[in-house]
Amino acid sequence: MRHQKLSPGLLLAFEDVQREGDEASIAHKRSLGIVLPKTSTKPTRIVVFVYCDEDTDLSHLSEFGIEFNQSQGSVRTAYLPINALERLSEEPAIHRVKPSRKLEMRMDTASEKVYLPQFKQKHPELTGKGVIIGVVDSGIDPQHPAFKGRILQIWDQTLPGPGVAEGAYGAELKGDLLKISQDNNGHGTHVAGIAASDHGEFCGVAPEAQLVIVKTDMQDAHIADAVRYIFSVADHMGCPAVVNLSLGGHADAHDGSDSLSQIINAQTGPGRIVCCAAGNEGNDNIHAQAVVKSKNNHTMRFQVPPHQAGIVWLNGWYDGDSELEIALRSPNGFVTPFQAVNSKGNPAKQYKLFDSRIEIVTPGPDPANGDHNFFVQIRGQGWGRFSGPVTGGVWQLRVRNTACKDVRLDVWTLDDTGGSVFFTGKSVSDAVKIGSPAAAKSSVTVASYTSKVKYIDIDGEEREMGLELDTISEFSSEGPLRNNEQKPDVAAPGAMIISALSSQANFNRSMVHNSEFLALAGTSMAAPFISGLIALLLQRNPNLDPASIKEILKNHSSIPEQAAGSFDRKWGFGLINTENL
Amino acid sequence: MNYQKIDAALAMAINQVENPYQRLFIIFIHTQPILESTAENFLIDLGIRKTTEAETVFTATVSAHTISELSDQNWVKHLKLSQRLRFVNQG
Repeated sequence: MRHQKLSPGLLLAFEDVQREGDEASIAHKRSLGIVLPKTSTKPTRIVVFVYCDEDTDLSHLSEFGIEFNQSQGSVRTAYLPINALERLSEEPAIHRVKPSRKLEMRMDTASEKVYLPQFKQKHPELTGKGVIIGVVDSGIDPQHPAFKGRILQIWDQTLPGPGVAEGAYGAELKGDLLKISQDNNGHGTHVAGIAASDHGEFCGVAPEAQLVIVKTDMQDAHIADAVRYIFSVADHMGCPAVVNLSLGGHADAHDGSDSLSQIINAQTGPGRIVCCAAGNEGNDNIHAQAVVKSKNNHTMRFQVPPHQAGIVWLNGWYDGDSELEIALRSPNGFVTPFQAVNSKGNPAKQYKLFDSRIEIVTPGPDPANGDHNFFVQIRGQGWGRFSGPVTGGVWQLRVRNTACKDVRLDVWTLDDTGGSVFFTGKSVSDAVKIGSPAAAKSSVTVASYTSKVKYIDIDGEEREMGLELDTISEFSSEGPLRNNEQKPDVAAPGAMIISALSSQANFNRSMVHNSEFLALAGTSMAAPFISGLIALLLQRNPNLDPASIKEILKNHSSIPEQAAGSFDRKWGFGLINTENL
Repeated sequence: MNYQKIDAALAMAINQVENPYQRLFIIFIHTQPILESTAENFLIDLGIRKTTEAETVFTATVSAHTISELSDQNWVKHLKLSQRLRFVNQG
């Protein structure tokens, strides 16, 4: 037996049968291509893929009961007694043997969980036709068959060029020039597929919607330009439109008063909808909250991993009527002085500690919402732009309330590693983790529901994610907003979702389902599901505005075991049920 | 520079700049609702054209020097630094 030629699952099944007889194969029948005999006189047989030399003649193996369905080719299928696997593996021209897999309709799991097939059966005319879905993201693979003929234009903000009316940068591409823009990240292609793919086994929600794509440089000012651009295209074409934003940040006030949210509010209206992902910080302690008593101090602790973060930021917000003084303590015990609010002059000061460089900014009330915002930046030792990593260990943010009333303080951590600095201790608050643009009042903000945890990868291996099935995804960010407004709005399937794979992106093979499709998870995946749904609703009624859309979604959502209309800071108004939409 | 019109993140960023004339800052410019021609010309010089009369928030890439000039204009309400966002997929 050449064990190394058999895939692990197949080898396991073979050894179980060798040890325990045919009965042992029953357990493997669930997932492998095992055919149990009708009588005990016949052997258990198995269906396999055989990887071999292309022109090799394997007909001589039939004397061992090994029947091939093809006489040539480098990948063939065969049907054989399970005990003949040993002889098969000994054949020199054969390199690998893999089991056939028992497939399930996994591609429809997400749709089934929200009764989308039933909705589509009742409304076969609703396909997204005549509606524009705008995707502001990492771009799109313009040659993926899932979108053939439906990408109207791409504004690639990352390419050199004269830009568009909404922003004099980047290049606008149409027709044959679409292929100049590439989605090397793959996120945008996957997102667009969820909303609007019309290909193969993984169809999107709105398979006839037209797409306007913006490949963004991730600056929120340019994302604002992108929203304006997409709606401008929709105005020009006289179509309703929904823009999907599967992106976010935490450098804002978390109350929808930030500039991008304001622009979204101004741009949306009848037939103009923006749909946002809630965020994926459900498991991350990025938010601390405390009530700082009058004339008292308070300390918030945060952990910086050693040798990882080049820069750490703290974004703090509190009521404009109060005033807090801010200080930092490094893990080695070095401290800055307390810095008070400076409403008139330059509110930014720099401190060089023995183990770090710290900037603290404490301006007067923010004009956008009247609250106080302070910013802290921590860098490692160094000079100018060059510095070592931020000192690892437990840091302290110290605040002093000099006012005569208590004040609630909210602080968020940010860093340049994509999220490795977290609060610890009593100030950790598992709430208020929805930032811009999901915090925009008019945006439809979507949480993630885990509808699937297993899938088959391109090598035939079953992959399982450590998520609890059929509940809100643990990573989905919690609301409400800092001003207690209710967010998220609704939940949709966000894990694990199989959708279009960009041919220009490199993914680990364990995430790839086949040459055209890929499995990803996140509120990034939940948002386009709702964007696609909104496209169907707009096809039916092009004048629906954000409030109407939210009301419709709310009335067709629910949280398990809770009364109709209940709100939860993780679920919003619950998992969408499309059956009677 | 009127620091009351710039947000904390922008104040921090300006403090670190070496060349005040280098266009390093992507910002939001929040203005009064009605702009006189001098204000509109200022925006045009920054490459900004109003697409609707109702627009009061604009985006531009500017230098620290321009930020200082903008902050001193009475038609400018406040200036905010653009923040870099991230995709929200797992892994």
